[in-house]
Amino acid sequence: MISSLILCLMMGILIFFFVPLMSNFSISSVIYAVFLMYLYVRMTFSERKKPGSSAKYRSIFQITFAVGFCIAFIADLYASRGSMAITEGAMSSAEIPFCHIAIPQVLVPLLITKNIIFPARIAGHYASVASMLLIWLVCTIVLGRGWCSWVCFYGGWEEGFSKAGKKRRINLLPKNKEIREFSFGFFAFIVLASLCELACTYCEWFCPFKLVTEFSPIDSIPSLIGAVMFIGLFLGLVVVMPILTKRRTQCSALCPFGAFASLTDGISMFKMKIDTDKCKGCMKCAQVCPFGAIDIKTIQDKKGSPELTCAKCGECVRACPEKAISIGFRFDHKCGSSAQKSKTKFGRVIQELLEPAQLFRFAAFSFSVVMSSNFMTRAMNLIVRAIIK
Amino acid sequence: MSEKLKTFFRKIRIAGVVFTCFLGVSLFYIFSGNLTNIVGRYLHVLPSYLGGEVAGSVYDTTADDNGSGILVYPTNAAFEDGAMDIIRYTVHEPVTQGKWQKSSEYWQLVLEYMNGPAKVRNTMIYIDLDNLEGGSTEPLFDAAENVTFDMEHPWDFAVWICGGQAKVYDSEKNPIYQTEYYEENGGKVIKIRIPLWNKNLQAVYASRKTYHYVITGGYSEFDRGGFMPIEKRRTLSRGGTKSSKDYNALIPKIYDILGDNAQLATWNKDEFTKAVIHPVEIEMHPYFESGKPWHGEKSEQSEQAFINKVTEEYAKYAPNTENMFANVDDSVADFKQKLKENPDDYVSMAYYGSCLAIQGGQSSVIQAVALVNQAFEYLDKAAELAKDKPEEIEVLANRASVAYSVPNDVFMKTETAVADFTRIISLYKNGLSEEELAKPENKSAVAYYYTMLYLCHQRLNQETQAVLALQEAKKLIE
Repeated sequence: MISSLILCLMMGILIFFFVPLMSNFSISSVIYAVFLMYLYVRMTFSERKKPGSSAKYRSIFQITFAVGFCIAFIADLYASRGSMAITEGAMSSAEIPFCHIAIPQVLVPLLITKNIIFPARIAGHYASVASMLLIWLVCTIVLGRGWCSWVCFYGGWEEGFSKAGKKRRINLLPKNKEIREFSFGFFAFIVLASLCELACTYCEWFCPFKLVTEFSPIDSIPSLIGAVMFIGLFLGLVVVMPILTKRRTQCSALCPFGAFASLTDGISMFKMKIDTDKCKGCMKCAQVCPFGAIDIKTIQDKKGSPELTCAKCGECVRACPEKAISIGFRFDHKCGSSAQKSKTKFGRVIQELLEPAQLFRFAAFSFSVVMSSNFMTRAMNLIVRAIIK
Repeated sequence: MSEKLKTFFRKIRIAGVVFTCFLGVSLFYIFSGNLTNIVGRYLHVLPSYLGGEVAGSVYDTTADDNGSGILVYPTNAAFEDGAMDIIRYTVHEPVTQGKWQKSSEYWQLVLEYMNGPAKVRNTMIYIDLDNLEGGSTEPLFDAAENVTFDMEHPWDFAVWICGGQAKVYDSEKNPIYQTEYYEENGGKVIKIRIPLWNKNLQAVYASRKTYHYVITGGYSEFDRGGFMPIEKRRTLSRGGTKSSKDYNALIPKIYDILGDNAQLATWNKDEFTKAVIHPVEIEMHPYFESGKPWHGEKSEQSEQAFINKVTEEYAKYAPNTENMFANVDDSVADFKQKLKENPDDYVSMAYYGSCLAIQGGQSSVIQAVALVNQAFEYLDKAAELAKDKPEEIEVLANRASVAYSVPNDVFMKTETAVADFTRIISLYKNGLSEEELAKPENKSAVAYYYTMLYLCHQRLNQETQAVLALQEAKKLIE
């Protein structure tokens, strides 16, 4: 109890600093800070009752952030260039916002040509190349692929649609391995194509999120084909398939950043672990995993951890009736807490504070707070103004 | 490894994870602005997205938009001061296989002016490529701008920029095609991208040297070549000479030329010859030959030495505020008391704001943000109250210094600093006579404010404005 209070107090200070204080105590920032605080308090205390129950609040945050981000981002575009379509002026001045999905596409050409193959600002903007690269680096070290389930401002769309359907209509569980292989194959293709073309191929042809952010003006046959692709992919992989499968299909099959984050997850500090002694093989975890990171083979072979594509969303922890899944330090090979329970109250509080799951949740939510504060405050302002009008 | 050692390393690792999770993420975001700038120095966008590597860039003297010193703008308010004042011309390397661009093969030229709008000006760029024979020494349109060209460098192509578009012509005066045209910063920056589909234009790929005549006059849709005529006396839609005695029909209809404006006075009324103008030479491909990008030639050390010199000069004459800011807590109390006695004392209000900001700099992060925000409430109010009052410079100097000192990524105040330093300079220039301005205390103050303006522009990546501010400071001090 005391440890949860301490964590909430620390998060409160962090939220206070990054949300209302940074926005000079505007009403929308105060409301958003209260909302964040509510989520974190519920997350921390519900976890005490039932491990994994914090996943619900993570999900609420991510959906809200995705919608808020798109509102603020589109408003920015309209303010600066009057439309969601990329203007020739913005393109010729290299003022296209740079997002994390472009990172794996620019890294190999950067090593070879020493140049960024994307027409974005290098620094001095929230969506500049340098800032996104740094965020990616720090996030990879701390959260690994946890970015996708906690911080990604696009992931919330799929998260939302995957929760929209009541019943799973299509079961992708038997195809998990093939989907994973496809995602890594597609990632390799995108990296190679970007290197050959010296332009980000995924951004140009495949990114479905152009429908909710910005896109090239449709003024030629290739741009029309591009438009059909991104509208089709958004409707297919971000809306329809998540509803039917209750999975994040775009994230697990197509997103090159997702595949890249899976490959670099090995350097992160945390890892999901399956206690093979406790596991009864009920496969409930595999059924709920939105990223297809657990399948029959994972359980049968007693691998002790989900597959590479695990995004540490915590859905499996919530689903496991045996409490066999938990988050742990990557450098600890054992499952769960190896230390003996402290005899003193103070010792127990410290032990609880240093629980890997607590630390991971705190770091992930900190990322979420700082990444979202500016966008959400502006989005709320816009919504309020629209309602008043 | 012994069990004890393993446990020790495990504890160290856990300590690292705990620090990263509880503090690392927040600290990273707090210092992300500085980190981004450091990383940003080593990253570059592929030049083909940005118009190609810079081949050469030429700065032109500022405030010389008066022909050879005798012309004045029309009286129409659209002709804002400096709208025809060329300050920089940049020639890029021609680009091949440019991705995501309108033309994949193009040549970019960038013109920067002191002020907008672009609609009032008529610009001609005449280009001579060293590897093309022939060319013309007469203007594109007969008797348009009243000049002839250096016989050594007859032009091969002309780019005519007016009315929100640009067209390229050959030396036979045939239009080749329209170019890409972009206006930025309210018409202060004009970017031209010449598509290189034309075979003759493709000669630029192999040129070692190119010669550019860049001239700007007023735009008039119904006059020859779009050049607005010059009359004895200016009118709403016609430029004029400063004195009617200066007038002659041979005066070039050019307000500014890239290079020395004296060449616009080389016409001869007795021999009835027009002024002869000379081009600016731009060497192509210096990047490929030296292996260094053009922007690598900046001498940062000499700039720093100059800034130190200016600061020292300024400190000699500036009021001593060291004590005030050294005992900041006492000063805060003093100014608070003064404001209690007179809530409209805007000078004290400005100093109180500055002191609060300094207190912020000595406090914890959360307190610092609160104090700086509070400081700006006072500084903004003081600036509002001091407008057009004798103490305006003192008040604005306080706000500008604080706005420059606080991190821009957190408070976004560097733009405010730019506006304040610019206003301070204009107050000095407009409020003092030339003799007064020449006094060392005023000269050093203006140079100091120009230097601060340079630093602010640099922080905002506004390279041209930064160079211009530094040039002005150097004019005063060196």
